Amino acid sequence: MESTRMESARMDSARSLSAIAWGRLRRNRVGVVSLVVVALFLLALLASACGLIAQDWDRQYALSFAPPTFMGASQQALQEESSAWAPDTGTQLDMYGLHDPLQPVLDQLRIQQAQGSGSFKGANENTPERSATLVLGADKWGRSIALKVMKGAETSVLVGIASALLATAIGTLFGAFAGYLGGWVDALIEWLYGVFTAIPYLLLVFAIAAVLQQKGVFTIILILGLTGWTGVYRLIRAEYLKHKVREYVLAAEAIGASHTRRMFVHILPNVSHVILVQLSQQVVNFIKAEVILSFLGFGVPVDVVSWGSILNETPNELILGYGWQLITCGLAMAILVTAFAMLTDALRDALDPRLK
Amino acid sequence: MKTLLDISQLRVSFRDEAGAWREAVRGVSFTVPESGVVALVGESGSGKSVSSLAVMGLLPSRGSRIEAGSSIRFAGQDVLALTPRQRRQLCGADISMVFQEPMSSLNPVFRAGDQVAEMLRLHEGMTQSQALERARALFEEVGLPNPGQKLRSYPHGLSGGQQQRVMIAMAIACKPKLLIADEPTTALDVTIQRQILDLLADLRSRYHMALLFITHDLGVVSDIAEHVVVMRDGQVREQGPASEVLSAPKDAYTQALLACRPPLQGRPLRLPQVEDFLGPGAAAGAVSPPTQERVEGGRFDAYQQDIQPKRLYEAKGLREENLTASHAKSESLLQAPLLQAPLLQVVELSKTFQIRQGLFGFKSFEALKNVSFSLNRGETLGVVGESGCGKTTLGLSLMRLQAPFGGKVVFDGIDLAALSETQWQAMRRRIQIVFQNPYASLNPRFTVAQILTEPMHIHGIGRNERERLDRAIELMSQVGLPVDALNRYPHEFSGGQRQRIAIARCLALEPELLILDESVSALDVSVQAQVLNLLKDLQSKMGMAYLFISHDLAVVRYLSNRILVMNAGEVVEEGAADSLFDGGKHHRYTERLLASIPGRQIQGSS
Repeated sequence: MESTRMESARMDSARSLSAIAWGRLRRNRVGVVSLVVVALFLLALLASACGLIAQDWDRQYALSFAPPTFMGASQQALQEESSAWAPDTGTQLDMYGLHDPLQPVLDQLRIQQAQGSGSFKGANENTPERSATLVLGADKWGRSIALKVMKGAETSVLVGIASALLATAIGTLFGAFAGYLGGWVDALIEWLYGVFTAIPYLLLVFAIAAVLQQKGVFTIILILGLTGWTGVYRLIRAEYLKHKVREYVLAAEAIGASHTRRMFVHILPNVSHVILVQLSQQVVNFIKAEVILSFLGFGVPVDVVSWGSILNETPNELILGYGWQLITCGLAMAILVTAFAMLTDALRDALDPRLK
Repeated sequence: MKTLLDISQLRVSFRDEAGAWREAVRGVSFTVPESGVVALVGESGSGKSVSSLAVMGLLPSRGSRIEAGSSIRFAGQDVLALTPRQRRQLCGADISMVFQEPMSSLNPVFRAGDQVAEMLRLHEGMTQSQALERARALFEEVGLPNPGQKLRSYPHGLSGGQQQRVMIAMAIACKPKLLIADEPTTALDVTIQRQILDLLADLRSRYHMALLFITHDLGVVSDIAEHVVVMRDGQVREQGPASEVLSAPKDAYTQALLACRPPLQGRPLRLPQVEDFLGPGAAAGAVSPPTQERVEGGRFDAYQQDIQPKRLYEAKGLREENLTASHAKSESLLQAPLLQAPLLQVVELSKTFQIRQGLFGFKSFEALKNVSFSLNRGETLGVVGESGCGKTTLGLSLMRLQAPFGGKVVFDGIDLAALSETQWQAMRRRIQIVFQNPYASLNPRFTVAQILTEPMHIHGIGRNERERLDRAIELMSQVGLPVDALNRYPHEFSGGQRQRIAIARCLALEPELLILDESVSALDVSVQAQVLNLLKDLQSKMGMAYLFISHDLAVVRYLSNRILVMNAGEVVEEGAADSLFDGGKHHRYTERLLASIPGRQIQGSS
């Protein structure tokens, strides 16, 4: 009997830690929902990267700034436009006797429009039928916002996650070495940190961009990753300073664990919650930072769409009163970011054996 | 005597992580008479602190609730029916509280004087200067030296005892009718504990206030309380006048608590444990404390006492032959070392810390000053002293966890300081350390299996994971842990079980010398007894030498053959464990330590 108990105990410990963590995560309802949301986003990313969806995101489906379907076609916009084009007969200005060479053509157009023969048919006769409304509205060029945001997610999520991983990895590594080893290693890394934080952020971005001399998604990831590690570094260094004098680390030293083992096998799992939370915040920050880079011209090339480039278009649209592109893109971002933050929270709880 | 505080049928529940409500206090009733002293005694988790927090209204508003039917009446007033505002006026003015950790209960960014003055301004409506004037008088009253200067000190500038005095000054500032002291001396050294207890007793009679004293230490209780309430698992086990409860306890649990402290006289082979009293085999009143004495090397006859039939062991299913067999073995192990060279020899060990002072200056602080001693195989050397005496530094220096040091440490003929890192790595197998706090010394992210197999991994013990796991299972049974605990994390265990895990981790390397740095100090009395018994058993089985470091004289005496008394980095006295308590002439400091042990009267009688 004893031997079967021993056997089962051995079996139990063979059950990996990740399996235990997965079991815990599954019990957390918020965690599961956010995991599903993040997974959906990642699936969409994959699908669009493979060209399964949103392939023709740049086709002009609808009228410029066509509103979302649920809002109905904007009568007001059409009317405003037509009233602007209405021929105002009696109040023609005498242009100081000058003759406008286009006057006859314009007159012709005005007459046609006044007869109510529709809008711009004449101008775009060879393009297919363009609808007055789209599921989530259209942008300036009549492209579907839904598809655009989906396609944009591809770039943004990739940039956000990849650069966050890069920045967090650099920050964690530097923080671990500086905090744990102390002495001249700490001094050196602190100096590097000082340099990176002393230079204004945008200047630093310019400098790195100038060194890389390339435009593209990979460059953006590098730029964000190489500039964004400082915050993570500071926190991780503090954590290592705190943990290296804890008794469990002393106990590890007492049984003869090496420095590397103490740093990465003993302390790292104990500060992983900090790293995870930082990671989720960085993803959010970097998705936003990509907007800034796009605005500065270091962002994605013009033929690539990203949430950054979408948001970059929205200020002008807002002035004209077209909010749907901002709303859709903002919502997509908000959902992903919230789900991601909640997922990391749930992950931390699942990985942390000390449940509150 | 009129009743001041009347708690009846108090039930408090907490919400656990699954959202279910669990009762932590289950129908507790007791009263505190006007200007009386009531001690609330119990081990951790007994609900004693929760009860007092309920009186103060300090329970967290989320996740805890006082069940209907509970009643707390203070001077005839129903406390639970008060509005939050009325409650605030009552607490601080009429009821005040002193907490366990003075360092964390004082606000580190305010001066001590201002913190006391705040009480007076809020409750007595004094101006700041009046309040400071009064605070100064209070500081004088609680015996703070140089009160004028202490008013302007920040908490970090005060010693632990002084901080607790400030807390007490704050608590008595508004002349409360009831002072609740929640383990006020647990974090303090014995000599300071004595001073604080004297101060509390003195203030109580001067202010005619009632004192509700919460503690786990029955020794302290016997010194201060008139009335004792013993709690366990949220229920009152026994209550009555202190003299009755402590000398003739009726409840089995109280008996167990009294018996499982290591006695100051005699040395039972094993300490009784709570299960011995509460277990199925122990009928109430049938248990007598075991009187068989453990034998010390070379002093066999001096401690031979009449050996009574041990009903206790029969109740536990232990046969007497087993006991005597292990007894005989330990005896031979203890006598053997006399013939050999010492296992560990420490010669004039010194350790100096450089404390940065000012911009470039350094101040050196000598933690160890020329400490010399030797330790034989299978022997236990106790090191006693108060915090800051260098006893922990001693342990860490021996493990090379703190370097560098002056002097010489010779282990089995090898000079430890001269070893290279690789040589030292091999030597580590032979010297191991168990730390004080089992909650901090186990990596919370490791399962027990990982914790136990890690040292084997590092030192290449066992050919594969399977063998190591088998060995871990063996270790678990050696320290008395269930085998199915292998896959669990440290937080799922109680303090005593965690300390067993920590001990098992050291045993994995089969050390010859085990340094026990306050290894039982963080444990409850009953658990402490179990771990002490375990340590004794392991020593007799494996013949390890122990360097047992503790501030607790009774515990050190129980486990050790010889004792080293340390003060301010120096060894002030060294001698056989029993000679310390024989009433002979001792070093001044040793005598002060001995005089400060709380509850000598009940210790003596047990």
